[in-house]
Formats: sequence, C-alpha cells, structure tokens
Amino acid sequence: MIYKIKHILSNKKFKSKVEFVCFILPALLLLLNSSIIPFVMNIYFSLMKWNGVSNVKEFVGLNNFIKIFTSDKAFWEHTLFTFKYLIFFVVAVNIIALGIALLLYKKSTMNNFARASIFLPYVISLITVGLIWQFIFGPGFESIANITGIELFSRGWMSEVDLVLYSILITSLWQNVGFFMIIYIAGLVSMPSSVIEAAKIDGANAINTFTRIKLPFLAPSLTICLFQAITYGLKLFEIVLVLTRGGPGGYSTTIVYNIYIEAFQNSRYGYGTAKSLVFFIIVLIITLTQLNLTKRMEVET
Amino acid sequence: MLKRIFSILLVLVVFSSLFVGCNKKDNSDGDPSSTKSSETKEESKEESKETKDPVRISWIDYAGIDLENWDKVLYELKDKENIEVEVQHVANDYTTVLKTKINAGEIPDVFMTGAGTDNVTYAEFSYDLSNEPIVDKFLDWALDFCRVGDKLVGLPANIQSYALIYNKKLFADAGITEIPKTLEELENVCEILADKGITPFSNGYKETWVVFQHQISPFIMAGGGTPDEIASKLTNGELTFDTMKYFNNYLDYIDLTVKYGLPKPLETGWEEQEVNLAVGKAAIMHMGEWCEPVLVKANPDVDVAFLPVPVSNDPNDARISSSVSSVLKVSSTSKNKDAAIKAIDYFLTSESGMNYTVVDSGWVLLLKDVPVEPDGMLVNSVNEILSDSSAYSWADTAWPDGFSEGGGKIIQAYIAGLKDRSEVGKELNALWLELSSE
Repeated sequence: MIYKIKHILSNKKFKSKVEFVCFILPALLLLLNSSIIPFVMNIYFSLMKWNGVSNVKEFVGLNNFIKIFTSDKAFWEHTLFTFKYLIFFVVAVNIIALGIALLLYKKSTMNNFARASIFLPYVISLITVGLIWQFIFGPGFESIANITGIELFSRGWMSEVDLVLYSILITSLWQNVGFFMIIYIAGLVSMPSSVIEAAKIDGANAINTFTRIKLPFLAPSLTICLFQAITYGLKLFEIVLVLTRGGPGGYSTTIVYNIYIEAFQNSRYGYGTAKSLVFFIIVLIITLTQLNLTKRMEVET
Repeated sequence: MLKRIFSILLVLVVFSSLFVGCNKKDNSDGDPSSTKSSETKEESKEESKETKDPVRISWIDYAGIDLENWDKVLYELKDKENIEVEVQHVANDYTTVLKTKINAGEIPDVFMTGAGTDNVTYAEFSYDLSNEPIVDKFLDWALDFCRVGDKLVGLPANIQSYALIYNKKLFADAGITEIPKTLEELENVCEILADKGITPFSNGYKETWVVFQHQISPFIMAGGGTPDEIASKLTNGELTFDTMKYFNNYLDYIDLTVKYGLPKPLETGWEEQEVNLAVGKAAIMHMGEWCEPVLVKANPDVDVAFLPVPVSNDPNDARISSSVSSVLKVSSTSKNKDAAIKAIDYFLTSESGMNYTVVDSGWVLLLKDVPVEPDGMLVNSVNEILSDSSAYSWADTAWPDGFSEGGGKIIQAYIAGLKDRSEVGKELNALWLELSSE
C-alpha cells in the first residue's frame, strides 16, 4: 500500500499535475473573487430595476437592454465621442512613442535620463495628472496668454466644444507615451544588430532600414501597444472627470463616465450595469478584431 | 531539495494568506461593526486597558472645513460617555461612498443626508426616532422635514439659505446704495458696475448645483406651490419646464450672469468662484451662507451680504431660499443605537458641539433652545432679510436623483451654445419624466 502511494507520488506525471494545480489555484481564486464573480453578479443586476441601495429589486427581464438600444440617445452620443477620442489617441500615442523609442533606444546616460523623465508621468495617479493639467490649462495658459498675447491660450481649454477633445488628448498622451515607448524600446533592443549591419552593408538608407527591417521586427510590440492603447482609450474616465466633468454640457462624456453617472448619480444601478455589459461587448469585439488582424501581420512577417 | 522545500513553503504562504483574506470578508458580511473595531482594537489596545471597553460607533458626513473643534467633540464623547466615534468626512462624491457602504452591508451607525428625496431613499435603513426623548429638543416644524409617512427618519441638523451674495465694498465703490429687487434693476446695477470697471458676476458654473439646482429654485418656487406639489405636477404632466411661469426669466438671468461675468464660467468651480468674490475680482455670486469661512480665509476683511435673487419685475418675488439642509440618521441595523443617538445629541446640543457647528461652521441649528447664537455676516444678513419677508423653500429637495446633475448639464450646454431655449425646456421635461419614472 505504502509502496503504491510512494509510487504515485514519485510518478512524474502526477507530480507535474499537482504542481500545475498548486501554481494555478491562487491566481484562479483571486481572479474568481475579484473579476469573475462580480461579472456574473453584473449580469444578474442588469436584469433588475434597482436603485443601488434598496433591498427591493424588481425583475424587468431584458427591458434595460431594450431601453439602451431604442431610447437612450445620450449613451450613443457618448459612445461616438469615445470612439472619436479613441482614434486620435491610438494613432497619436503609437506614432509619438515609436518616434521617441527610435531616438532613445541606444544605451547612453543621456538616453537613460530622457527615458526616465518621459516614463515618469505614467507612475503618477490619473487623478493627480488630471489636476496638474487642470492647473496648466487654467492659470498656466492664462499667464502664457498674458505674456505672449496669443489668443489661443486665453480660450477655455476645458469648456469650449472645439477644444476639450484636444485637452483630454494632450493630458492622456503626456501620461501614457512613456509606457508605450518602453514597449517599443524593448522591441528595438531585442532586434539582432547583425541584420541591421547587413542592411547597411547592402546600402540601405535610414528610411529603408526602418520600413523594411525595424518595423517588421516590431510587429509583436505593435500588437501589444495597439491593444493597450485601445483598451485605455475605451476606458477613459478619470481625466475627463477631473478636467471637464464630461462638459461642456455632456459633450466630452465617455462611455464609462456615462455608466458611472447612470449608476451612482441617477441611482439606476440595474440600468447602469446593463450599459456596462453592452460596453463590455463593444470592447470585446474591437480588441478581438484588432488582435486577430495584428497577429496575422506578425505571422506574415 | 532545499529549493523544493522552499517552493512548497512559498505556495503554502500564498495559500494561507488567501484564506486569511476570505476569513475577514466573511466576518464583515455578517456583522458590519466587528471588522472595523477589530482593526482599531490593535491600535488602541493600550488605551482601552485602563478603562472598560468603549462603545464604538461609526459616523459618516460631508463636513469639510476646519475640523479641530469636531475632534474636540470626539475626545469629550470618549471621556465622558465612553463612546468612541469613528468619523469619516467625505467632501466629494458623498452619496456614492454612502451607497457603496450600504451595499457592502457596512451601514454607518450615524449618517448624514439631505432632506426631501434623500429621506425616502434611505428610509428603510433609517431607525425610527419618533419615540426617542431627544426629539423634544428640536423644533416641530423642522422635524416635519424629516418624516416619511409616520416615521421620523432622522434629526434636522441645520437650516441653510442661498441667494445672491454681494461684495458690499464694491457696491459702495460703484455708488450703488439700493440693492436690486427686479431683473431690470439687476441689469442696471450690472451696467453701473461694469462702467466702473468692476466685473459684476463670479460664476462657478462648473458645478451643476450652482448653475442649475440652486439658481433655478427661486424661479420655480415663485410660480407657487410646495416643492412636493411642484414635483408631482411635473411627474404627471400638469406642469412642464418650458411653460413654467418664470422659466424664461431664469434663462434671461443666466444670460445676464454670463454676459456680465468673469471669463470661462464653465471652468470655474465653487472654490474659485468664492475666492473671486472675496478678493474683489467680481461683485456678486450665487451661493449659500456656508461659504463664509472660505470667504474670510481668502480675505479677512471681506464684507458681504445676501441679495435675494430677482426672479421677475415684481420686487415682492425677490426672496431668499431656505430649507432644512442636512439630516442626521441612525442606521436601523445599528447595534449601538443609544450610543449613536447620544453622539448626535453631543454633536448638536453640547457646548463643544456648538463650537464646531455654530461658531466654526455658522450653522443655524433647529433646536428649541440654542444658547449660542451664530454670529456671521451672512447669517445675520439672512435674519435681517427674513425679518420683513418670507423665504422660498428649496425646490430641489423633491427632485429625483440625478436631476440636479443632468439638468445642470443641459444648462451648461445652453451656456456653451450647444442648445437653444426650446431645446433646453424640452430636454429638462424629458429628463424629469425619465428620472421620476424609476
């Protein structure tokens, strides 16, 4: 008997299984507790009419979802604004981060310093970033306007319809470029230098080395960066909350902000969770499409 | 081998820490007060050894300024009554925090809310105080603001007033002696001020409650009816915003404040708005008496008084708006209701409590007997105005949740030029019907 147990215990297959379970279980439990169970509860709430406080929840079936798709104009306007921001953000953050990465990827003290200072804003909390830029766009720009007399700086950067998108963009770019730059630098550093040398010997100029060699090598980094940028852009919330409060008059409200207002200000928790499910599906579709497309690109190269 | 033992140990540690976490959570689900006290117990173990264990209660409110005297109330409560109060002041986004706590089953023993709609929302979590002796200390009409049906859901903490506030010095500089009582007179005053190079208005229109909730209230109330009557008429369609008697006057008035106001009103928050008035950048703003500490801090020599909002061209319509503004409630699930009531009693009726409420914060308490009279410029100004006219109630106490923010956004959009008048009226109606249907 004991021999048998010993035999099982020393069995490599069994051992690796136990090891596997041991390693996966803590993470699984945490994930279950903090993300999967709340998600299931979310689905449950989305079928209810509930003010978020009361003990009474009324089952309304799919009515919440029907309302989103038939009569909630504001939700779709805010979705549109989020997409508008998303496109600007994804394009700008990747181009700027890649540009900086190409300038700074070679090792030197100066470059290290520059990298650190560009990365620094990423470590600051979003609310603080919002407050810093609130100060810059407010009193900061005002004094620039007073000194230089340029009219653009005296305008309402946080309250004029044609400017709010850009102030939100500038703030989120300033904060995030560092993170994306690091991913691109990692990609560039891991590139074998022999290939670039070979290209140089073959007489390729800077543009050709970039488009034909560096860019294809960066395809995995690009996948990650696009993915990160898209999810960040869709989930935009804190900066808007601090800078514009979704204003002027709801113009710069994002999807997440809309959900927050619905659940916590309007006290319509059930309806808010229904919206968050719709949002989840939107995010899912967009990111899956993006991952599929860029993965295909990676394979081709 | 050593490596293996080490890794097994590590896994065990990770595991056990996980269950420790779960354990705590289970506790908090069943008994809201137990986790909190167990957290603080370790800190104050040494203190509590001397006396017998104090009764611990939790308290949440939205007080935000000068809390030194508040802390003295806490010390006294601990010394004399052996009650330890765990206070949380949440100045921003208070209702979200309170709702989250209630959802998590951690209802604070004492919590502060507004009057009106808030009373109904939290009625099921509020302990019925009708039969408690403390009730006798409060004014009867004020208690009526805290009733839902027959149930007394809380105790009225203070009455507050809001209206326009003007900088007396700037008015004197411009040679204005008569305060405006009609919209026409208000416009004249603005012209005079502007001619002298003084900006008339400081507008904190980033805040929806400044631009909409507080400012539209007198325009609604001047049309007649109590807040509840107006609300039910709006819900059943008898009344709409665009056909309301003074609705257009409200938009005229908003136009006026923007035209004669400091630049970028939609970027200005309440603090900046108040400081602008105190330091003399502008002469008038719309705010309540609670702003006095901020004004005095910004400029110790500031001299201000209330100016009732002119809502029409009839001077009798210009009145100040006053209402019971904060209500203190005891949780219906509280295990220490007596201690909770005692804490409220101390806060509102003891001398040290009044040092905070009356002296520091300038509250007008709603007790039958108030030994300390508040002495603030704005409170005195309220009393002066109320000596020869009555006040409007606050229309917004009967509004559905979210209408203040949502309506404010519509007005902000109007100021930004995104919506015209007819759209504003229609959208306010639609928003009301949508939010009141819940």
